[in-house]
Amino acid sequence: MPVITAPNLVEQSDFGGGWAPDIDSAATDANILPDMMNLLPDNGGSDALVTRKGFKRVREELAGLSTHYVKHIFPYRNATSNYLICILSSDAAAANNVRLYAIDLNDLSVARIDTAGVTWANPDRPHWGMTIQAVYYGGSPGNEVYSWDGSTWDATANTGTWDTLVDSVAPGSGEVARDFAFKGNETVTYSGDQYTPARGIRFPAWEAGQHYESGERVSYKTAIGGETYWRSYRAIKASDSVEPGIASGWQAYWQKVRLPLPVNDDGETSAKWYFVPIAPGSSVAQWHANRFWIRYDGQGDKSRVLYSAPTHPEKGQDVPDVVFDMTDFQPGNDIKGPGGGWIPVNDGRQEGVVEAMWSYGQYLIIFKRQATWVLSGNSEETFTLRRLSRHVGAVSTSAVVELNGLVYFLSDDGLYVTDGTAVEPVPGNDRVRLTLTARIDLMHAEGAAGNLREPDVFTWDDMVWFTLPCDDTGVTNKAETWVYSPKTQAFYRTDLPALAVATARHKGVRKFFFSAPTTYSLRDLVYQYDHVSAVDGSGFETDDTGVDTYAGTSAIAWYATSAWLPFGTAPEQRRIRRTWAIVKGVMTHTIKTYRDWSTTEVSSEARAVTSTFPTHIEGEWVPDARAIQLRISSTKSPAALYGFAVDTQPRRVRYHTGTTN
Amino acid sequence: MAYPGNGPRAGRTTGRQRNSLLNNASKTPPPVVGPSSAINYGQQTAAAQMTLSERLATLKAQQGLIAGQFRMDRAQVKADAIGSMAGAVNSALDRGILNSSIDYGQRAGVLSERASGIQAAVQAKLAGKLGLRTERIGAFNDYYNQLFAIQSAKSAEQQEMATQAFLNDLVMRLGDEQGPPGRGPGGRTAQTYKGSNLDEMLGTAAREGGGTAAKTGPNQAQKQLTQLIAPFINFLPESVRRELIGRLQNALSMGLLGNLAGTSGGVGPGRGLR
Repeated sequence: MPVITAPNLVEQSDFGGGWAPDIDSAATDANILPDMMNLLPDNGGSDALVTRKGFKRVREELAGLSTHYVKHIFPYRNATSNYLICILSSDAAAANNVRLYAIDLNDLSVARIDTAGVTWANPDRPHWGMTIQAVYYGGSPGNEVYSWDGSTWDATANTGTWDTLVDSVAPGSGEVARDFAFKGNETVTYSGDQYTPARGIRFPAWEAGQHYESGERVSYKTAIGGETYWRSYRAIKASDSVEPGIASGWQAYWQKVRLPLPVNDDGETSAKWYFVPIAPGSSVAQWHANRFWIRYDGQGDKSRVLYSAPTHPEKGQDVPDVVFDMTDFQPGNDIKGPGGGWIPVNDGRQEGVVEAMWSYGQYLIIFKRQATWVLSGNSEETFTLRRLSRHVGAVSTSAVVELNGLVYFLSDDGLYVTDGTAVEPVPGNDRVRLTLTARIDLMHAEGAAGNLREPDVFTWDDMVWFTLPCDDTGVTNKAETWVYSPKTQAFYRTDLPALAVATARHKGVRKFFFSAPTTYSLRDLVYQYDHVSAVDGSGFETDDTGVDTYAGTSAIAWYATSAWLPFGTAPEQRRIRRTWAIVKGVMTHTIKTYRDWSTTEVSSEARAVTSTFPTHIEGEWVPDARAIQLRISSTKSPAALYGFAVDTQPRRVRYHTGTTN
Repeated sequence: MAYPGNGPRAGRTTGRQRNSLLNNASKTPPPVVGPSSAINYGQQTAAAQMTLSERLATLKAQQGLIAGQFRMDRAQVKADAIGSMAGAVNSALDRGILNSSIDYGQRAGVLSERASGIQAAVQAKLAGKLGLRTERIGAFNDYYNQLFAIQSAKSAEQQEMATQAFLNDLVMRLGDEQGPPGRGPGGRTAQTYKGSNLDEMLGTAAREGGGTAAKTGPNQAQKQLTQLIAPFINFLPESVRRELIGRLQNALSMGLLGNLAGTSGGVGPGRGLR
C-alpha cells in the first residue's frame, strides 16, 4: 500500500524504495529509507520489511588457527558426499600459508586435503574453484592448478606426467630422447615449456629379410647403446637385411629420421613442434561451451583468456562418457580434432585486467575491471567476441552472479546487470552508487595495503547479495552485506559479516554457507545462514558470536529511518498529535522522532510488544513541525515493520518572513 | 682371266674396258629418280618440314603461354593470399578475436594455402613444360619418320632403277659374250630384247638362245648360271643379288635362257662365263 496523505494524516506502508543512502533524505520519496539495517523485503510479496536471519557455525574450527582466515568456500560434490572446500590463508609468505580443508557435510567432519608444508605464492590473491566431472579443480595466481577427487590431492593437475626431451644423452627415467620415433600425440617438456610434435615420425616397423628401397621409412625398436626405444630411419640405399642402427656400416643404407629441437638457438619454436600451453596459475576461471576457460596469467597483461580442448568422448567404450583433460590445451588439428587456444580480450585499450568470467547460456561474459565483453559461439569456428561496455566491469573474481535469467555484477560504479547484449545499471543503482563506490574504493585501498578482501556476489531468496568487508579504520561497520531485490528494484543493508560465500544444495535443500572476516571471527570458522537443525528448530534468528568455541549467539538488531515527510513548501507548521508504527515481534520496539530536517532526536519511545501478531506501537508527542521523520528500531529479531503513521492537525498560520525560519 | 674386272679382256685390243659394269658403277652416281618423282619427294619433304616447323612454332607459343600462365597463377595466388589474409584479419576483427590463436591459425592457413598454391602453379608449369617436351620429341619423331619414309621410297625407287639398269647391262654383256662385239646372243643388242622387265628380258634372251636348260637339267643349269654371273654381281647387295639370281634361275628353269652351260650355240666351256 502506498503512502496515504489525508488532510491530517500521513501513512506509509510501502518500503519498496529500499535503502537509499545517496539521496538527499529531505527530498526522497516516502517509500525510501535513507538509513536502515538488517531489514529485507518480505519474500511473501507484501510491502513489509522483515529482519534478516541469523547464522551459526557449521562446526567448530577447521584447524583451530587464529593465524588463518577462511578466504574462500567452494561447494564440491562427488559420488559419495557433499563437501565444502575451505581455503584458508594467513596472507603471509611462509610454509602452510595456504591450507585447504574439506568439510564433509554428511557428518561435518573436516580434513586437510592439500600437501602440508608448502609455501604458496601470492597467498592473499583470490582462488578459483569449480567441480568438473566430479573432480574439484582450483587455482590461484602463481600456483599450479590443483585438484581433489575426494581422496587424492594433485598439486599439479595442469601439467600431467610429461617426459623431458633430452638430446645427445641417454634418456633417463622421465626423459625421452630427441631421436625417439614420436607418434605426434606426445607432449614433452623442454626448457620449462611443453611441446607436441607437429607430425608423427613413427613408421612401419623394420623387418629382417624384407627388401627396402631407397626412400622407404621404417621405425625400429632395439637396444642401441643400452637404450631401447623406437627410432626411425629412412632408406638411402636399397637393402635387404641391413639392421638400421645396428648393422656394421648401416649408415650407408639408412639415415636417421628425427625431429629438431623444439626451440632453436634464437629461441624460436620450430615449425615441427607446437607449443602447448598449460593452465596458468590464475584467479579467474570458468566452464563454458564444454571447455575450461582461464585468464592467461603470465602472458601479456592478463587480458587474454586461455581455453582448453573441449570434452571428448571416452575412447574404447561402447557407451562412452565425455571426458575432460585439464592438461589438454594444445591447438587442434585434423587428427586430434578441436583443441585449445587463447583469445585476447583487448582491442588496444587496456581497461584493466580480466577480473571475472561467467558462462551465460550461449555467451561467455568476460569482465575486465573497466569493460565488459561477451564471447558467443561454441567452437573455434564460431567464437565471436565483442565488447558490451566501456568503463563498467567487475571488481573481483566472484563479483558476478546470475539470477532469473540475468547476470548481475558488481562494478566500480555500482551494481549492473546484463543480458549478454547490453549492460545497464540495475534500477535503483543511483540510490546507492556513491556509497557503494566509496566502500569498494576503501576495500581496494585495503587490498593495496595488504589486506585484500574482495566482494563476493551471490544469490539467496531470489535476491542478489554482495559482501563488502572492509577493514578500514574509518569504516564503522567493517562487515556489511548488501542486498538487491530485483522485484522491488531496491537495495537493503545488513551487517551480515560475510567474507566468502558458498551456496550449495545438500540433502535437497539449498544452503548458504559463509566465512567471516577476521574482524568478526577469531578463528577459522564456517557459518550457515538461517541455520536450521533439530536443535535450533525452525529457524535461526540470532548470530553466532564468532568466538573460539561456540558460546551462544547475539541478537540481531535492526532499524529503519523513514524519509522526511514535509508538510508543504510553505513554512507552515503542523501540530503533531501522535506517531505510530505497526510492527511484529515479541520484543521492545522503539520509535524515535525527528523534526524539521534536524538530526536531533525530539522524542523516543520504547514499546514492549508481547503479542506475536502485528501490533500498533505509539510514539510520543513532539512539537509542531514543518517536516517529520521516524526511526523504528529494535535490538533483536525476528521482527517485521509494516508501516508507520503521523497524525497532524493544522495550527494557526504563522509565517516567518526572514531568510530562514 | 682378267674379265670381269676392269682389266684387259681376252680377245680385245682396246685394253681396259671403260664401260664395264663395275667401272660404270664406280664412276656413275646411282640412278636418280625421274623429275616427277623427285618433285614429289621434294614436296613430301617440304611438307614434312613445314609440319615440323608449324608444330615447333606452336610449341614455342605454348611455352610462352605456359610461362605466362605460371606468372598469372602465381600472381593470382599471391593476390588471393593477400585477399585471404585481409579476409582472415577482417574476420578476426569482426569476430573480435584478432591476435587470438584462432586468428593466428587462420593466418597460418592463408600462408599455407599460398605456399601450396604457388607450388601447384609450379607443378602446373613443370607439367606443361614436360608436355611440350614430349610433344616436341613427338614432332621430331614424326618428321624423321616421314623423312625416312620419303627417303626409303626414293631409295626403293632408285634401287629398282639400278637393278633395271644392271639387268640391262647384264643382258647386254651376255649378248657381247655370245655374239659379235656389240651384239647379244644371236647378234642382238640389249635394245633388241623385248620386254620391260627382267623376266621378259631374260625370257627373250632364253628364247633366242635355244632353250637348252631342259636338256642339262635345272640344277646343273642353275649352278652354271650362278657361276656365270657371280663375278658380275658380287658388288651388289646380298638381297639384290639373291633377287637377281632367283629371277634368272626361274627363267632358266623355264628354259627361257637356253643352254647357258651347253656346248652348242650357247655359252660353252672355254668361252663361257665362269
